[in-house]
Amino acid sequence: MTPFIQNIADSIKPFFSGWLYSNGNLGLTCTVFLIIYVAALLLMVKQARAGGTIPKVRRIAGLDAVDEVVGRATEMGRPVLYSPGIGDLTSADTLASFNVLGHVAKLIAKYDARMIVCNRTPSVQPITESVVRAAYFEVGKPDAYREEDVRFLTNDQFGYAAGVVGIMNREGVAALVLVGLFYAESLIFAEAGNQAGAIQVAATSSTSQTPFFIVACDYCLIGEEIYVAGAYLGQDRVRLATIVVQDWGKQFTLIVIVLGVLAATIGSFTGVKTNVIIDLLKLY
Amino acid sequence: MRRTLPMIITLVTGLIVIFNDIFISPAFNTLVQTYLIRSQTLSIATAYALGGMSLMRVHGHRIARKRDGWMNSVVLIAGFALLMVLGVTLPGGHNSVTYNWFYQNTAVAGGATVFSLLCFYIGSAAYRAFRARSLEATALLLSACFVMLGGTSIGSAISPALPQIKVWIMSYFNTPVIRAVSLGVSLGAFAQGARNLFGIERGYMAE
Amino acid sequence: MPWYKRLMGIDRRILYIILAIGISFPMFSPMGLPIPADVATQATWDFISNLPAGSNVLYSFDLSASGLTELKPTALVLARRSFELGHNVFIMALWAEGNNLGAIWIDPIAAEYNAVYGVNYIKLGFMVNPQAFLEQSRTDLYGACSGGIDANGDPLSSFPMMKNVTKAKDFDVVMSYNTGDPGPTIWIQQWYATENIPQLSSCTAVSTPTMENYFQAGLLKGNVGGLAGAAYIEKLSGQLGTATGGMDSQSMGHVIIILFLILGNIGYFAARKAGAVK
Repeated sequence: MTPFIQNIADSIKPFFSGWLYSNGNLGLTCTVFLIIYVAALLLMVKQARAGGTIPKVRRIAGLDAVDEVVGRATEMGRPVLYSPGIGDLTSADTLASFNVLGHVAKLIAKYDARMIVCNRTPSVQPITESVVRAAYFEVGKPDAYREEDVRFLTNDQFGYAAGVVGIMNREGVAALVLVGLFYAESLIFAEAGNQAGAIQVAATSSTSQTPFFIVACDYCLIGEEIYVAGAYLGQDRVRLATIVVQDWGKQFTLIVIVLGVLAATIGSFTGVKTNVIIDLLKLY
Repeated sequence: MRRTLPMIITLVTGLIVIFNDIFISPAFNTLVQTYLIRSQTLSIATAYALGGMSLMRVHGHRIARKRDGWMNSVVLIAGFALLMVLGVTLPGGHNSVTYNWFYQNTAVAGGATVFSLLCFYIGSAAYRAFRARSLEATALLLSACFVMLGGTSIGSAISPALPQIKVWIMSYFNTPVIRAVSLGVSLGAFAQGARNLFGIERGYMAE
Repeated sequence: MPWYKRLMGIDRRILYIILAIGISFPMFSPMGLPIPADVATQATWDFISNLPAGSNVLYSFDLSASGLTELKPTALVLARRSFELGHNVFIMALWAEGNNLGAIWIDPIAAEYNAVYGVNYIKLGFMVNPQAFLEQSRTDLYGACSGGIDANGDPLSSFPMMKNVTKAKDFDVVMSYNTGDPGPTIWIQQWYATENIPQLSSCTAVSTPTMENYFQAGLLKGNVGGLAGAAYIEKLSGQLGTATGGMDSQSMGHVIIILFLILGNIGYFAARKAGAVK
C-alpha cells in the first residue's frame, strides 16, 4: 500500500474493526457507496414527486415494440406467450419482469386478447397469478381472467423449455415476450418461436444469453435496459427519476476506472508498484 | 394497510439482511439465521407444494374435459405420482437405487435430449441470421469463425495460431465488453432492488 | 425461383440432417485431433493437485442433466484426483437435479478408491435455499445443512470428518459444477468476497466467457469451460474419456456451422447484387 494511505488505514482500523465487516478490505468503500447511491435514489424520487425536472430516458426500441407485439397478436386472434424467465424471487430480472408482465397483462385485458404465462419457479407462480388477475380487475374485466393461462410447468430447466416450446406450437402463439433471467434454454425459446412465426421481444441481463436473443428475436433489450422496462412502459415520473441514478453510478465508476488506469500507467513508468486509487478503495 | 403492510415488511426484512452483511452484530445474525432464513426456506418449500398443486389442477382439468393432448396429461400425472410415491416410500428415498434408475432414465435423459436441440437450433439460427450486412456484422462474423475454430481440436490441427487468436479475441474484446455490461447490470440490479425495497416499484405486489 | 433465394430458404430439416451426420460421423470413425491447451483448465488442475492430503474439498453440483456431456468428465477426473491425493471430499448441490447426479457420478469413484463414508467422503445433500445456505454456513455449517443432517438424513456430528468442519472457512476450496444460476456467481459473492475461500468452476461452453472474466479478475482460481476444457483436463489426468471422444464431433459441428455461415452469406450477397434484398 502507498505509505500515507497505509497510515490512514492503520489509524481508522481500530474505529471500524468492532462493528463493520472488512469484506476483503472493501467494506468501507462498499458501505459508503451504498449510502450515497441510496441517498441519491431517494433524492431523485423526492424531486420527481415535488414536480421537479427529471432527465429524459432515450427511446428503447424493444420496449416500444411491446405494445405493437400485443396489438399484432390481438389482430391475428392468437395468444401471446409470456415467460418471466427461470430465476426466482431473489433475481432482480424476475422482479423487473413483474413490472413488464403487469403492463402486458393490462393491454391483453383491454384488447380482449389471450396471454399464456409459463412459470418455471414455484415461488414466482403466485405472484404472476396475482399480477395478471390484478390487471384484469384494473381494466374492469375480472371475469375474463383465466386461471389456467398462468401455469407452473416444472422446476426442471429443460423440462420447462420443452413445455414452453410445446405450448408455443400447440396454441399457435403470435407473440413471445421473454423478460427475466434466462440461461441455456433462451435459444430454444427464441428459435422455436421463430419457427412458429411469432414476433419476439426478449430482455435479460445474462451476458451469455443476450447474443442468442439478439440473433433470434425481433427485439432485444441489452444489459440493464431490463431494469428500466417497468418505469419506461408506465412512464411513471418517480421511477424514471431513479434511472438517472443508475447512470450516475456508471459515470462515477468510469471516473474511478480511468483514474485507476492512469495511476497504474504512471506507476509503471515511474517504477512505483502501488496504485493510489486501489489503495484508497481498500482502506478498510 | 393492504398496501402499506407488505411494503413495511419488505423494507424492514430487506434492511435487516443488508445490515447483517455490513455490520458485525450478533443480533442481526440471529435474526437473519434463526428467523428470516427459516421463513424463506419454509416459503420456498410451500411454493413447491403450491406449484405441484397448480400442475395437478391444470392437468386434471385437461383430463376431465378430454381436451386436446389429454393423454399427455395422464402421463405427466402418472410420472409425478410415481416418483413422489417412490421418493417417499422407498428406503433411502430419493437416494435409493430404484428412484435413481427412474430419474436417470426419464428426467436426465429427457433434459439432455432437449439440451441437445441447441446444437441444431444454433445451426439454423446461424444460417438464417448471421449476415454480413454491415462492417460491424462482418467483424462479428469473422471473430465468431476464429473463436469457433480456435476453441476446438480442428483449429489446433489447422494452425497453432488459431487458438492464440481465439484467446486474444476473448481476452481483449470479449472480456472487457462482458465487464462493461456486467457493471451496468450490477448497478441496474442494485437500483431495481432499492426501488423494490423502498416501495417505489411494487410489481411483486401486483401494482 | 433464383438460385440464391433457394439457397437462403433451404428447409431447416436439411440443415439439421447435415449437422447430425457431421456430428455423428467421428463417433464411428474418430479423427484423433489434438486437444487445445487452456490456461484456466490448467489452473484448475494445478490448484486441486497442489492441495495436500487432508484438505477439505467441496464439490457443489449446481447443474441439471444438460451438463452431463460437458461437466461429468471433469467431475469424474477431479474426484479421482482428490481421492488419489487423500483429500476429504464433500459433495453437495444447490440444484435438486445436481444432488442425484452428483451422487450417481461420485459414489462409484468413492467405492473404487475405498473411500469410507464419513471419514473421507460425505454427501451434504441438496440445499433448498441457496442464499440461506451460503449465508448461514459462513458461521454455522451444520445449521445450514438442513438442520445438521447429511443427504441420507444422518446427523453430521456423527461423522469424524465433520468434527473440524463447522463453518465455511474450514473448506480449502469450493468447486462448482454449474449449468446456470445459482452457480459460481453466488459462491463468489457469498464465500469468496466475505470469507476469501478459493473458488473453482466447471461450466458449460456458453458460460465460459463469463467465467473467464472471473478467472482473469482473480475471483475464480480456475475454470474448466465446456467440452474443450473437459477434454483438456482428461488429457492432463491421463484418463481419456467421453470428453476427448466428443471433441472430434464438436470440431465437425463447428466446421459445418461455419460452412452454413458462408453459404448463407453467399446467398445474401447474390440476392443483394440482384437487388432482391437491401
